[in-house]
Amino acid sequence: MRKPVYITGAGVISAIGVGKEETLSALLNKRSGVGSMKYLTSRHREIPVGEVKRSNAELIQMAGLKENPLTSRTVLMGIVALKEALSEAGIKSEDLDNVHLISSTIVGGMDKRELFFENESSCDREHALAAVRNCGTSTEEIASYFGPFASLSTVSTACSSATNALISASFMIESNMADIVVAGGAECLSIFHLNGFNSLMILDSRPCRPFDKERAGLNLGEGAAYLVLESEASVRRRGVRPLCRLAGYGNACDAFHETASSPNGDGAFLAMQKALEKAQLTPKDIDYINAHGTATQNNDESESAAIKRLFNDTIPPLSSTKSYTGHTTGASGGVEAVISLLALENQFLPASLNWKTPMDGGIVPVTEIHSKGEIKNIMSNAFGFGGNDSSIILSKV
Amino acid sequence: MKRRVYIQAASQISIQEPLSESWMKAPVICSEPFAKAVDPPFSQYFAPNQMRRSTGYLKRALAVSLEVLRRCNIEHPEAIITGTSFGSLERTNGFLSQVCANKEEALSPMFFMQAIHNAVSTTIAIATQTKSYNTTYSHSRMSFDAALLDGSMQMQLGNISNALVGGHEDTSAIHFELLKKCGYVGVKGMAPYADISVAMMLSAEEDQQNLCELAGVRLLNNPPDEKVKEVTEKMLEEAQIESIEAVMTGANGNPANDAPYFEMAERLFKNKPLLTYKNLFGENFAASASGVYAAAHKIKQETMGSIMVINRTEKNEVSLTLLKRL
Repeated sequence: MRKPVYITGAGVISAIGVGKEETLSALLNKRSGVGSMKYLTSRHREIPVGEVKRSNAELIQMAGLKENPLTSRTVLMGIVALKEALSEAGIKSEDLDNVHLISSTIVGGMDKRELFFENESSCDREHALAAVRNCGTSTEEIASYFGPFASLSTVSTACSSATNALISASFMIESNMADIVVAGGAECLSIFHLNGFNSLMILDSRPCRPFDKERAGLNLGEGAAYLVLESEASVRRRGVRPLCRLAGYGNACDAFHETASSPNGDGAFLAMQKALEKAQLTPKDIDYINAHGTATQNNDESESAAIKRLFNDTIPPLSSTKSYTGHTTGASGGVEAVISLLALENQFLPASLNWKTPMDGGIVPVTEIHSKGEIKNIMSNAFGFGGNDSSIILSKV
Repeated sequence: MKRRVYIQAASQISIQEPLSESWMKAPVICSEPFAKAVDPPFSQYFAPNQMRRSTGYLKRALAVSLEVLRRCNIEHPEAIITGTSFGSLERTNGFLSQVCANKEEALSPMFFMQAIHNAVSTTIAIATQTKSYNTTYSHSRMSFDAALLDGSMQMQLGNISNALVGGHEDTSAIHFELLKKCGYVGVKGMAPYADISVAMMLSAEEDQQNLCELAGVRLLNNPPDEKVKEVTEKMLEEAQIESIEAVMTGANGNPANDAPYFEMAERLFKNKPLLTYKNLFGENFAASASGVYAAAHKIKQETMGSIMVINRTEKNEVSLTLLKRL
């Protein structure tokens, strides 16, 4: 029997708001954060993005940090989200030596390196240190704001990164390696990232339309989100109220292509199936699926196929909240886990935006927030390049 | 009862003779500040057209992984777990150069795709058609250690009975200059900055052919001495080892890097022989993989009882990996 893993706190920042409360309000009012580019200085001004509505200077001020032009926006957003998560869980800085942190990102501090890359060969030591940042550096920089966490780790598996960080955190609690692990991810928009996705020709020039027949690609977003995972013993000892349980998880590899998903969604199918098994649930127990739903031709088709295979005729209400936040890539698994948690706590269905026409044989997302029955179990999917497919299940306590 | 985890096989591609343990008797001595790996004949592992668009980094990672699978006679591992700090430097720097030079136009999607850090895990999965658990850790000098911890935890939990765990790091001239400016490489008298590709198979199966037992892995952040002591004692107790026989450190000949290792050893592992591996396999952010690899083979081939492999970062994150003779 698997040791239960509870979630006792969460924090989030994305295009639809700073913090859980603003995020909830945007979801309940069907307010998208995708719009024209304001903070990123790309030449592709015409591409819509899901930007966090704060400048770096404002984020620095929010965090109470000293001005430093080399501080990555990834780190700033990470600090804001982590602060909220720790605060909700009632974790103070003196408790941190018993708290582990697993963060995730795809390109971490690239937003700063790309600004001086052309002059890098003659840069000073400070810039050299910024140039050789890796994914782990952003975790270290986020952590150092708070104090001495027990251990640090960083996952980087493209767009499933943050979900895999949550899975890795669960291993630590189940194997008695830790009592409390904070896990999630942070990813800011960068010229590197935007152009990478643009070179793959999968960015929509309009607000994205997940699961719509006319969908034409994704909108890139940015954000950060963390969840506090805790063992039963620790929950009791600290006398905290669990928000939900991380009931199950699964990761599988599609092993099909470097970036594309297989037409029958093998990896996605296996990941969801494993998550159900781990949670000891059947498909009919799932009350809502927060789909990966990027709105690319390929993902939505492949994910539909996998969901239809697993759920047959009883497909639960489903939506993609990327129509609100854009695709927050390395942070998306965390952002969407927090959105799923909000849906569970507040008993509503995050409705898909911009959806009009059903795909041929595809699934129909929910467009109304009202839920017919009680929401007890939510599945959240995150699929990454390389067919790195992950799925988690959050359950009411 | 703690489940036992073994290292069934481990191999490397580095500045030593590739896919071989000949370094134990006839090590290659390299006195260059920056050295590229000695590539094996890749055609023994995959058809040239299969990897024609790949870089040396990806080819080495795939070849060493396939070699370990071959030695273990395993076709589809139950997990593929990679540690890499920088992923493909050639592709990352290449894409960044294009973005700047072409003013964000006419870019190569292949460069971007291969710059993503999980490209190694993906390549292995596609090449072997393995649909099981697949992940990648990218946490500075602790990338491989985090990957090893993941595999070891999942075996403890009984989720899997084997795992292919790798540590892979690319090098580039651009990065050599940057890392040198940071004071991490190119210091007079230190180990060369060099590519590394290490793969090993973790297995739950007891077998005399196994290299050693992986008796414990721990990651610590800025630990006081008492914490390291407490964790070490717990690891020894769980492994039923009375005392460690030797300590494998990440000393590389650079005083700024070495002093904290020596001070820690003096305080916490007094009078234990100190072994090194970076003098043989070079320095890079996945170097700890070559440390665990070297220690596992030393235990198997030399009559050593147990080795504690210590790795640390500039910011004083510390990992402890305990290997035990079968």
